[in-house]
Formats: sequence, C-alpha cells, structure tokens
Amino acid sequence: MIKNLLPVFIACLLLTACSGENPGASSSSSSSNSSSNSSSSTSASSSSNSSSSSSSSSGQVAGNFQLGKTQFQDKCALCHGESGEGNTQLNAPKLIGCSVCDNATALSKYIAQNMPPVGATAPKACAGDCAANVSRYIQEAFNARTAACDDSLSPSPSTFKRLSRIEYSNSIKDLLQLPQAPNVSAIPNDPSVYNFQTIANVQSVQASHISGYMAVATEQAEALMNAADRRDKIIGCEYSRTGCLESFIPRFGRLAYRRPLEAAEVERLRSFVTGQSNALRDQFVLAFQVFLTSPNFIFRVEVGNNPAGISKLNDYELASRLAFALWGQGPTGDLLDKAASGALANVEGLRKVAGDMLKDPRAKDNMTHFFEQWLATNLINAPVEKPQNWYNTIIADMQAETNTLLSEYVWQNKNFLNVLTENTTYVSASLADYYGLPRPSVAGQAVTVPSSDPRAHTGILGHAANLFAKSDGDLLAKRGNWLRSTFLCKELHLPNGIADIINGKFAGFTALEIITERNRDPSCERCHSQIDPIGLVFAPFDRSGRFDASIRMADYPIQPGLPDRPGSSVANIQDLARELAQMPEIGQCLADRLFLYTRNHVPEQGDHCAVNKASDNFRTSGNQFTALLLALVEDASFRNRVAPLPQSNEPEPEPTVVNLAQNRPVTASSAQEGNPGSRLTDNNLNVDSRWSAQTYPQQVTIDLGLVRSLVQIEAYPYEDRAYKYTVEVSRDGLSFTRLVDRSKNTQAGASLTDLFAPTEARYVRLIVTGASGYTGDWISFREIKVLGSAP
Amino acid sequence: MIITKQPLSRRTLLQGAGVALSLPLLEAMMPLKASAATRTKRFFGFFYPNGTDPGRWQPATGKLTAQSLSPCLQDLAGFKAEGIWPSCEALYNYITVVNGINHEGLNTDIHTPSMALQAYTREANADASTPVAPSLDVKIAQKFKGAYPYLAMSSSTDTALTQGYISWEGKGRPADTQRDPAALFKKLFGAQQNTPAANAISQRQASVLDFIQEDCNRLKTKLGQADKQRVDEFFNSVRTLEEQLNSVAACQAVTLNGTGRDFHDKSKFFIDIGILAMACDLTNVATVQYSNSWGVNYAGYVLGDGVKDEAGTIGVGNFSDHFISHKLDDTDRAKDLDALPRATAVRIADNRVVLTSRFKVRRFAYLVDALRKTTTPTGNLYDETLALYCSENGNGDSHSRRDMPTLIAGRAGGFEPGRVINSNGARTAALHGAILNRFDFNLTTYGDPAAAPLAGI
Repeated sequence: MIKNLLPVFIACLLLTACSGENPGASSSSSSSNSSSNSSSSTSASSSSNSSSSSSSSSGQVAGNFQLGKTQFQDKCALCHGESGEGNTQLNAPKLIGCSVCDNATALSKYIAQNMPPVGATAPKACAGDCAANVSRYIQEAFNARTAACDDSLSPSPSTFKRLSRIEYSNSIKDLLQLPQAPNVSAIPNDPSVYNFQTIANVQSVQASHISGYMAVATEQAEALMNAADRRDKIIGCEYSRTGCLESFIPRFGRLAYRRPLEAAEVERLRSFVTGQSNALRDQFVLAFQVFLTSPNFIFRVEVGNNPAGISKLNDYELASRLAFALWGQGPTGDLLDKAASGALANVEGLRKVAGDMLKDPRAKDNMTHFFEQWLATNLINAPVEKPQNWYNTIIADMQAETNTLLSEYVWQNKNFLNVLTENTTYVSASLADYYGLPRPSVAGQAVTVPSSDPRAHTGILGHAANLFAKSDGDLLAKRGNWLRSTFLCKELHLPNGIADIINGKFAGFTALEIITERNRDPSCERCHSQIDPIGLVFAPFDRSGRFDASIRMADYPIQPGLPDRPGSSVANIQDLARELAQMPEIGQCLADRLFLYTRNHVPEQGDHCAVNKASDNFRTSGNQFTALLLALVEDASFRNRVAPLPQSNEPEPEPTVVNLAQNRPVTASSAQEGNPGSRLTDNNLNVDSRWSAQTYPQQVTIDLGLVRSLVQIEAYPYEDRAYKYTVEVSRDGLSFTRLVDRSKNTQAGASLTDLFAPTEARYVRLIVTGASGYTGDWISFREIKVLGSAP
Repeated sequence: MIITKQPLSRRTLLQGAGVALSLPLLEAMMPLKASAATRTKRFFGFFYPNGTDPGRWQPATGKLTAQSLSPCLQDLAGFKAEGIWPSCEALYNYITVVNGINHEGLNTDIHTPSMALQAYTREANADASTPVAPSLDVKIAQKFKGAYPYLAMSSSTDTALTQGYISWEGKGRPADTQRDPAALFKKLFGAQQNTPAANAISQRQASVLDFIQEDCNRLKTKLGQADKQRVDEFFNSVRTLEEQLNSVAACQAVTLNGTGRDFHDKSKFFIDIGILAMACDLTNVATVQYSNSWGVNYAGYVLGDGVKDEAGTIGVGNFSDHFISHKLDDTDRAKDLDALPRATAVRIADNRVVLTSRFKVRRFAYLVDALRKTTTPTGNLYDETLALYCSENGNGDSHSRRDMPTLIAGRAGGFEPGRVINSNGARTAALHGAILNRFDFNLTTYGDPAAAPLAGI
C-alpha cells in the first residue's frame, strides 16, 4: 500500500482553480455517487466483494487492469486521489464502496458519459477502452477484497534475492552454531526503503560485499577450526579422519545451499580443496570459505519447475522461503528433512510446520527486527546535548521496552491492537527514572503506569523509542506522517519540485505562523491537515521522548485530531491511542508491511489477495499477530514465484522534460523588421536571433500545438535586461490564466527561470509591461523556453 | 618498506593486525609509478549538507582575490589549525566559485543528498527519491574505468537511499559506498605480511574467488534471464575484487592518522584515503559525503572568536549543522536565541551560518591543499584533478535550491581556477555538462531538463 500520491498533491496545488472557478460544476455527479458511502472503507468494500469479483472475472468488462491503473493515475487521481479516497473539497467522490463501484458495466458507462465533469481542472477524457480499463482498476484495486482472490492469479514478480546482512549473520550463526551473532561489519549495510532492509531490488552485490563475505567466512572458519568441540559438531567427524571431508561436504553443503548437493558439485569442491592444500585443516577452511561466499549460499535460489515466468517452488525452496520469512535465515537440517518428506506439500502440513517454527526463538528474533524496522526504533541516535537522567545504555533500554511489550502481545496471542492502549510497560530502573515512572519492583517485571501519568494508556505510542525524534525535521509533521505511514500505510510524498515552488513563501514567519499558514493555504493544507493534528497530539513530548509540561497544545493555532477516523474526538494522546486502536485499517496495513518484510518487495496487484486474506485472518482471530503472519505463509501465492522480466540495457535516460516551445509558431503583438516573434522559439540564444518590439506593453503567444503539461518557463532577455512581465497560459487560446508574475521584476540576467506545479496548457503568452534599470522602450528577448513533459 | 609490484592480495584481505598510524600523510606519500604519458585526469567530489547563506557566500564576479572574498569564503585567505585539521595558506588562487547554480526541480524531498551529484530529474511517480542516472562522479569513473573505478565514501550512518548514498551507478542503484575508513584503509594499504604462510592464505583466497566465479557460471545454467543478470552482477563484482587485489600499489608503505569517532574524523580520514588512493594510482575518482543532512554538529570545535554571544553560546555550540542552517523560526533551530530581542537574534543566527559555512569551506580547502601538496611524476594531484564542492540545498534556511554553493578546484582538462563565474541561474545540468566536457565527453547538452554546458567552466 505504499503508494505514490503525487497526483493528489498536484490536485492540492490546483485546488483553487478546481473548486473556485466552477464550484458547482461537478457537484451533481458527486452527490449521486457519494450518498451511499459508508464511513468505513473496509466494511463498505467487504460487502461488495462477491459482485465485483464475479463481474470482473466473468469478463463483463474486458478492461485491462494495468492500463487502467496508468489511465486512472493520469486522468482521475488528480481529483479522486491515488487510492480512490476522494476529495470533498473538489466534489470528487470516494471510489471505495460507491454506488456504482460494484457494477463494472455501470461504472464503465458512467465514466464514459460523465467523466471528467464539466469545469474540472485539467480534464482528460476517458471513454471507450479507457472507461473499461479504469473501471476494472477501480473495482479491483479499491473495491475487490478477499472474495476476488483467485488462487490461480499469479503473484507479482520477485527479484532474485541475496541474503541481507542480517540474514547472512543469522544464517552463519546457525550453520556454525555460534553462541551469538558473528561480527559482520565487513559487509556493507543494506540500503533501506521505508526503513525496511529486506527489499530485494535495491540489494546489489558489489566488490565490497564479496570481500566482506570472504572476510567473515575466513575469520569464522579459522575460529571454528580452533574450537575443537564446536568444530567436531559442525564437521560431523574428527577432521583428520579418513573420509571426514567426503562426508562433511554434502552434509554441510545441504545446509548452506539449502538443498542437496549434486554428486558433481561435491566432487568438484572436494577436488578443489584437496588440490589447493595437503593440510587437512586448510582443506576444511577452504571448504568453509567456498560455502559461505558462493552464490549458491548468498542468493536465495528459487527456480522451482520453471526458471522464467511463474513457477511452483520445490520442497526445499519452499522450506527456505518459509525459514527466511519466519526466522530471517536459512532452514535448519530438520526443516529440510521435513520438507523432503512432504510435510509442506499441503496447506495443513505447512501450517503445522510453521506453527512449530513460531515457537522457536529464531522467530522471536526475526519479528523483533521487523518491529524495529516497522516503527523505526532502530534509528535512534544519542543527542549531543544529553537530557536529564540520560545514561549510556538508555537507547537499548528504550528499544527493549517496545520490543518486550510487542513480543508479549505477539507470542501470548493477545489482541495486538491493544499495544496502542496498554498501560503496563517494561522499563529498567534507569529508564523509569528518565520517564519519571515508578521503578519495577523486580528487574524485568512490568510496571503499571499511574493513571495521572501523561503516558497512561498509550501503549507503544508513549514509548520513548517511538516519541524520540529519529532525525531533524518539523516534529509536528514528522510524527503525524510517521503515525499515518506506520499504522495506516498512508504515505505522503512531496510532488516533484514542490519544495522549490514554495521556496521562500514562509520567509519571516514564526514557527506558529508557518503552522497556521500551511493549514490554511490550499496548496499546503491538503497534506498538512492530515498530519499536523496528529503531530500536535505528540507535541507535549519533546525531541528526546520526555514529557514537557511547558509545551501546551492550546498554544498552537490548530486543533489536535485524527482526521483519518471521521467522527473521532481526539484531545490528547490517550484519545489518539484509543481511537487508533479501533481502526481496522491497522490490520490491513500491518499485513501490508509484514508482506513487504517477508516477501522482500512492496505488495503489488497480484499480491493483494494474500495481503487481504492475512488482514482478514488477523481480524477474525481477534487481532492475533501470529494469525496474520501464518496467513501470509499459508497463502497459495507463497508456493509460487514469478521471475521478473530481464532488465534491458540501460540507455542514457531520455529527458522527460523538454522545451516544448522549440520551433513552435509565435504570434506577436508587433515586431521590429528583421526581429520577428519566430526568433523566440528557434533554439538560438545568439543576440542576432531575437524578437524585438517597441513601446510597452507588448505580448507574444506561443502555440504548443497540443495541450501539454508544463513545469517551467525560461525567458532569455536581450542584453540581460530586467524586463517586467507576466506569463499566462490557456488550453483553448481564449481564456488565459496567469502562471508567472514578474510584473515587479528587478532581476537582470541571461535568463530568468520560473518553476510551477505541472499545468496543462497549449498556449503560452508572455506580456511585457516594463523594465528595471533599462530606460529605453524596446522589448527584446532572445528565446523563450517552455519546459514540460516530453510528448 | 617499499611496496612495489606487490598485489594487495598478498598483503591479505583479512589481516586482523592493526595498522601503524603515525607518519603524516603527505610525507609518507611518494608515488613511484610514472603516470601515463598523457596526464591522468581525476575527479574528487565533496559533499557537505545544508547549503549556506547564498547572500553571504557569493563573491563578486571576476577574479577571486583576497579583497573579493565573501564572509563565508574569507578563510580562503588562509586559516589556522583546529582539532585534527591543519592550517592552510591562502587558496583563493586555487579555487573557482560558481555563483547562482540552480538545482531546482530535481528532487522530491527537501533534503536529498542522493540528488546532489545528479542532473537528471527523478523518475516521475517513483516511490522514493532515487536517481535515474549515474551521478557525476560515477559517470566520470565509468569513462576512465580502472582497477578501482571509484571510491564512494560516506560518513553518513544513515542507510536510507536518500540520505546515505551520494554516488549512483545508474537507475535506482547506489554505488559501492564505504562507511568505515579504518577498514577501507586496511583493505587498500594494509600492512603487508610477506611470510610464506600469509602468502599461502592470500593465494588460497584468490583460488576461492576463482572457484566461486565458476559457481556463478554453473548456477546461471539453471536460471532465467533476469536471475542470470543478478548472478552476473555477483560475478563481475568478484572480478572487480580480484582486480583490486591484484592492482599494484605504487606507493611507499603508507600510514594515516585517522579514527571513525565522528563525522569530522571520518571525513578527514576518507579525504586522506581518497588522496592517497589517487596518488597510488588505485583510483582516479573519489567522493566524500561529509554527513547526511542531520548528522554533523560542531561539538569539540570552537567556531568564531571563542567569545560567548548574547545567548551565552560560544560559536555555534553543540547545535547540529541543520539546526544552525535554519537560523530562527523553524522548528529545527538553535533555541538559545529564542529569548533575545529579534534584531540581536537575527544578527547572531546570520553570523552562525557564516561560521558553519566558513568551516565547510575550510574542509574543502583542506582537500584542495592536500591535492596541491601531493606530487605525482607528472606534477601534482591538483593539476590532474577537478574537485567539486556541492550540497543538497542552496539556502539552508529556506531549502531553496537556487544559488547552490559551488566551488571547483584543480586544473584537470585545463580548468582555470581563481575566478568567480556567474552562472545566471544555469541548471546543475549545465554545470555537470561543462565538467564532463573537461573529461572529454564532448557533450552539447546534458541532463533532464537538458541544458547546454555552462560556458566558462
């Protein structure tokens, strides 16, 4: 559910135009649609399951989902939102559970006839195939849930994954039976996306990885050969005994490569190590070096019965996938044995094996890693200025507090949503002092938070590990964004260039004035109104996670709240925790995140069945975390793998933004002989290629030929003059909207650049009204560039 | 001890022994190997976050002189030693300032070090702000690919793609980025153990690498096309590692003082390693990311005159560079100024950004000075290198990406230092195109949106 909301933000930028110019234009269509909306998208869409799935799978609407997605994002998301959430200010109805959303034929017809509504900003027609495609997309992406699941539907492609550093460490610890995780600092840390370090397609293998693997392998092999007890257990025999090497290679190789070795592989390795050294000890070191650096170990090979396209995993691959999902490491010998004996062949068998695996401490460790990445508690860094009662191991204690509570909920099968309202906590004596809480009577025992404490009944939300600012930044926005992204999977992304567009807008404003303005200005409010009220709830907790009574919510110019839960009443963090814990969306989001963590990519269209089933399982189990986890691995899609398409050779990226004005016709209000308007678009910046006209004002209009999406205008004045001008654009050549206002310009220079939110237009008009510094009455420009999306 | 024609692998990948860190860097370095007849061209990227205050950074166009130095650049007239950093004489003849570079429209987020060396706009609708093209440094490295194609070194502890990676191989693929200077130094210059036993270990490791390359070939026979490409990447990385191990370090035995204590220590260590690696012909392209946007602060340094300001703070105190860059009013700010009269607070906040900017310039000056003082058979590194100072924002307070702080040093490709160029708002693409042309790219346009190379670079 990690979605890019870029078009939504463009919509927010265009809000004034959208709702202001034609306030009533689209209201007729919206009222008929939105009247039947339920307030809860989940319940509304559940009820429409069967009809939506049958209509799409039976082919009543032959739309193409992928095309529909593209077309929706291009033509509809601007107003209806990327996730079909709608926008009341734009009179754009929600597309989740709407009155025609469960009837593909009707929806397609409705779109073809009524969309876009008259007067919409940047309207783009969508009839015929487009309507069919988009209606299928709306149905399946926003309205199809469990019942739409078809087990024959292929899961989305998964990149051939290498072990992450954590998986490498876990696997070596197990293979070599180390008492604790080995030092793997020689291997580069994995890049994170949304703070998850398990995303396959950003995990490359570079020279420093290979040298890191080799370093760890050599160090561990040498250490093992020096530790007689452990050595004999791992090798399985006294290494100097005849035949020990021959028995060791296939046995250990099966564990390392997570499959039986072929006879030829065994022989090749045996002959390699014996050829390299006559010393038996060295032969074993060499074998370990190979095992722990080989691509057979580093990559999780999943080819099943078909190396390309979709394939059914074989028993060993399935065991392996299960082990990485539940334990974050390769399978044990025992698990491989079970798989070989067919224990995973059906869903009942897999469920039993998986259930047993969850009782293993490896599962607990793996889920602790998940929680740290999910909540970003692994990002805490000690502040330079240490707050009162700070101590050396406090960060570990903060993380332990959250991990312990979550583990209790997970492994005791409690209602997981109550981690948000839990009133007992696990603090060390020192952390209790830091908070100002009573110390635990016995170390490790839970502490009940007094009802008067600001953290009472706030569960993990009140934990320092979560309140702690993990980076600089506006705490109000960051915490609001963190909460929505973490628990509701609602991501906000700044649209390209937005930071540049608001450049300087708030210069001279105080912090509170900025908050006021960004919750008022339509171009900011759309996003900030969703996150700032949540962030405000956390405001009384400072950057270091301590309660600060001097920070008063009432001093802020906005109200606290949880806008994602309509009708909720939130005045403080206790209210927020209570309301949040009642949102079923959390289960959906948790399923989404856990999918991402265990399957190593963001869930895509083919994965939504698995995700939805898991979240349903979560709900029907009384919100048990393990029910969710088990549902993900029991899903039919877990047994299949789709190989991605090969990457084509990467050419130089084509510019996505080009000068759309180049060689386009220009109409000028007047022109000096020899310096016609056409010189403005001849892609020639020389002074002898210019447009000139005399006496203010003068204007030129460039016809781009078709309506294009524009992002920037560059004007190249003659002799670097500081002309005063405006730029207006139009779709039809009749009605123009001002885009750039340099009517008070004093800036001279070779070129003047203005960026703006993507704007659809065909005609671009430059109106020159004067100049600063230049006293003549000649108007002269060498070139006008209109930059926009390449056709 | 002199190391010649001695593959690094013989010195072993994995020596646990510590490295003697005693001799000053520059005394220890005397490249022995003659460069090619034509002068080698090198690139050294330097990133420092949070921009500057452009109004107090940009000097007047023309020749850069002691008189024309702006408040932020004043230390190019020379500065004293501080902490781990040595003093430096006047360097304004060695650095060209490019005013007014426009970095707008390239990235999604407000702080995006990952885009600092990019001239291609982010892919539309991508989920994360990750580049779609090789970064400037890698592009140069790819053209002059050698044993060590490039050294991307980052003191950032942040592994988020937007904050921890400045060098990119291509679309969505961050470059191999070093974060542990001591380990890197050991790998590149680790003390040799030229004993039969040590050599045998190294020999065996080389054999293991050969063996796993063959593993790659065998594995590929079972795989589909896309999976093969991933194994190819593994295979090529093994080969790169072998090339690295077999490359000849054309240097005397070298030592470096360095620790990984904080951003400053790590960055100096990385700069020293980069210089040394160039001097030893191990690489011709290196980039140092001094910090992510939030990490670096000035604890342990006294910026300015050492006198307490009206807020009772000396210099910038322990506030992070990010906080200082935001002056007043932002949520992230040095709050010790809150209680002061507005005019006083403004004056101090402005001055603090000058203090941090001066610090940033001094660190780049250290790099330039090291290039200057490192001789090669054909001259010195300075004459063979272009060093580029860059940041993710222009104005750290407003996040504006107009007027990016841009400094260029070195004479690679005939570049002329000691000037102030007014780019008149030219795009980063124009700057990068012009720099690439110094490396024989012969571009007429570069970047997205495409721009003509900036004249005068």
